[in-house]
Amino acid sequence: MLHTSIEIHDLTVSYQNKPVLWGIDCHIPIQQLTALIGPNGAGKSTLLKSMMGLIPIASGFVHFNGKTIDSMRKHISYMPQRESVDWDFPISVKEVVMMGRYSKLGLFKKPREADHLIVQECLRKVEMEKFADRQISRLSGGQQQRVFMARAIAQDTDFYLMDEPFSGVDAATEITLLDVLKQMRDNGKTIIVVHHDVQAVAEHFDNALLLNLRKTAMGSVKEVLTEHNLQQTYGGKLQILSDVGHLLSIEQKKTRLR
Amino acid sequence: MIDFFFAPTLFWVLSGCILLSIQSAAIGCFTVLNKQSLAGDAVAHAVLPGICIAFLLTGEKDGLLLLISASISGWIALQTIQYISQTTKIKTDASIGIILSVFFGIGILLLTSIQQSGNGNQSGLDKYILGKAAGMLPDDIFLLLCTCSIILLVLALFRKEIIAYIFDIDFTKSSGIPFRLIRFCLLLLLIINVVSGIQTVGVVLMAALIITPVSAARFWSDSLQKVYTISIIIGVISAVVGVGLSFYVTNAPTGATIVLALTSLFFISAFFAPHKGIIARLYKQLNHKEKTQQENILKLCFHSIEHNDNLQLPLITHSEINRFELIMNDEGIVQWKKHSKSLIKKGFLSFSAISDTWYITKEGIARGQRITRLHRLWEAYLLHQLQFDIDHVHEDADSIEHILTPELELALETILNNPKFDPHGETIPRKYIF
Repeated sequence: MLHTSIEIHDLTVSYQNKPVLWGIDCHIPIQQLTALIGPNGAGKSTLLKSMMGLIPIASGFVHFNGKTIDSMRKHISYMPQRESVDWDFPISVKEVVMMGRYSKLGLFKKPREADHLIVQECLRKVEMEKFADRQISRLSGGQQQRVFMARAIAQDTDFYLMDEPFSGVDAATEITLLDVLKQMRDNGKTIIVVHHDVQAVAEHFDNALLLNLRKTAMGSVKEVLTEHNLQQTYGGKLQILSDVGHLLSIEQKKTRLR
Repeated sequence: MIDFFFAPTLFWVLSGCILLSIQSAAIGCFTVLNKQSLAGDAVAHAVLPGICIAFLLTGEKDGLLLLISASISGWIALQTIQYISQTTKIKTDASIGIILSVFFGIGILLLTSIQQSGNGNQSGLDKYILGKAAGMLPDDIFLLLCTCSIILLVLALFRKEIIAYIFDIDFTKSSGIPFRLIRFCLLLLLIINVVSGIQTVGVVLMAALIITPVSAARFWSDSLQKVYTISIIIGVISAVVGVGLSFYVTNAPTGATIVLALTSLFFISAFFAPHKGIIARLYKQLNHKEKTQQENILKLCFHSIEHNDNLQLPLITHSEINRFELIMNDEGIVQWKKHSKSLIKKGFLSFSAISDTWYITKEGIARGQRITRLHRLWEAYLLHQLQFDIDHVHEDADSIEHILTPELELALETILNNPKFDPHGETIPRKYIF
């Protein structure tokens, strides 16, 4: 079991003034849809970023199928939050999705015809094929999310880590995108999604990881989405934990400056 | 005779400036999009200590060692800026300010002490501050030819990775693209560009060559490929114009005239570029205002007939027009004379010269009805869905009615469940009564 899952072991992350994560321990089963839920500032994005090695880990480790992120990058797609980029950037929808092919293509190589076909297919899956040539500055928020999702799909990897792919998306689009994710899951992909809507998670996801600075529950949605667990996750403010986390990050800054 | 005397110099200066403009515009395109516009300025100022130290060591004013020393100095400055902004709370712009000035200060100190040392060879070292294109020699052109080719080649080779890196750094890191290599290349190319160009245009004007072409080009296009090409074209044009001005008209320093030409092109782009230029945007606004006013007239026409059972091509009497102008006058909206002609042209009104009256056409009524409908739908939406007070909804709807799209109209209908009346008790007209 150890080698066919994502194993997060005693993961502690302390990153500038961003949320702190404390001793996260869990196994995320492969080939399933897992939602990451928790209140604002609970550290959901921080968890994804530290799993991707984008921010430093204070202690603990994350293993994908028993291996570290750096040896697994080609097998993992990361979809950042929509707000993390400048949508006034002068490129077209097609070009953004093509970025999903770059790591497979390697340096110096131009996209081949097969890559163009894949991009087209991914855009079709998220119902954006009509917008392929549109400049990204002229997209709505929901369309931006779909472009990002198409880019992640174009990477064609085994693992997908998606940070709030449904924020700013209307209900109909959410259903479309969820269907795409389910289809991918049925094709053997492992998908982790940061989500805000507990109701939708209960309906559409296999597992949920409940998070508020520490893990409050992890398991199949039927087992873990209980009133008690949700109360644990969303209820208390955990003021002490967040204050101590803040102190810790200040301490770390001091040492870093020296 | 004069032409014969000037021609070779002019040729070298012109080719040098064109090459420099091309490479600056090319690397500038990515530097500016990466929101590092001031990095070029920082490097330009920071190379001075390197130049002075190399001169102190070798006693030469040109040469490879000088360029390498200048590059190292610029590199140290950029790394320091990055270190400060990453490890302290000081933001990038502030740390650029700090480092840029201190390096330039040290450079000036060194330069002054060199000048006072009485070294006979030192005169001319100040070309690195103000630039001296007129003194370009074939060797300089050869150097620029090399740097320009290197910059264009590397940008072409790593093009897709550079774009991915600039657009979405987290994605690029996460997908295993060698982002450190890309970041290194971009900085190195920037430094190569600055160091090779600084004796032509000088410390202060170097930044303009990097920042201005792409800033102007952004007004013309939203496609990176086009922005890149247009930047380079703008760079070349201003090099030609600038050198021409400097040689034949003003006899001013070439760097200054190039930057003036560049900035003129920037303002021309800002004003006259289609779609994104200031004039194009003003024209669009004006158009929208006119459309709004004409739609208001049609709306009033519809209001004056909506309670009649007989909706056949009603005429508009002079008293009606006076009434319209009275209703709308305090908002200064209805100017019958100005708009009626245009409305006739568009087929919303017709005019009978015999009876000296206006008629609203079917299309005119339909348009007036649609505006009325959108107005009342929006009022209903504000009141029922957003719990606005009833005295707040009318004015808001007056502007929204002109911009709602058919898709939004449909969404409003659905969410309001096809309402029959607006908050004031007026009927919301159904679609397409004709």
